Amino acid sequence: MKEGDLGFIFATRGVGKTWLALDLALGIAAGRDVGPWKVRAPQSVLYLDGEMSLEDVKKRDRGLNGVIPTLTYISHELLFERTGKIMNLADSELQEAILEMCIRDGFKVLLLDNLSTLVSEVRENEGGDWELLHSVCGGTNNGCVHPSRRKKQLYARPFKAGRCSVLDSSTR
Amino acid sequence: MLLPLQDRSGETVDPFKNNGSVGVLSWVEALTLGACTSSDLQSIETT
Repeated sequence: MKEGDLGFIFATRGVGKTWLALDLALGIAAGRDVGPWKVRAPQSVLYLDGEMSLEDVKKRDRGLNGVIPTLTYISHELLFERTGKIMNLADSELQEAILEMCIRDGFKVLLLDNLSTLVSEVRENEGGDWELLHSVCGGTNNGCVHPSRRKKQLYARPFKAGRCSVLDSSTR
Repeated sequence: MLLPLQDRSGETVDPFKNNGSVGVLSWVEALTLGACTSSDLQSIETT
């Protein structure tokens, strides 16, 4: 994956998309290989979680031997507890703020987990609606996690201008 | 209740600092307050 690339982790519920995404995030942040994927150097990673409880984030981070300063989480639960805010990635102001934070803090990889919980006001059947995410899905390395209720091509199409990869984690 | 509330540098912060309302926080400020490194995650108490 190179700067500006976009990847999707795509599978049915309960397969382990979030485990894979967290392992990727921790591996990239720590500079260690993740399965067959080589990590040449540690990179700062920002992980946006819109689904798990904070306790689950802690458990999974601990279970994957986390404690890595170059991986930063934004948990929807912690964000709401501290600020009263709820993330909706269809909001252009939030998109701009995420990009500003990535530039300010030097994050090279942004992981969004997952599109169903982080995005509202988007009709999942309408490919054009996903163009609302163009801003936040460009300019840095991105990974998105999404349950496979729909064909993966639907989600990849709006981002075809850049390099886009789709990983179906159900094929293990 | 989640305590303590600290920013990324470890400084204690008050989310109600802006006229007593969290509503006036910009998204950048909110994301900064909500961010937590993997290193600091385990020290956050949850109930």
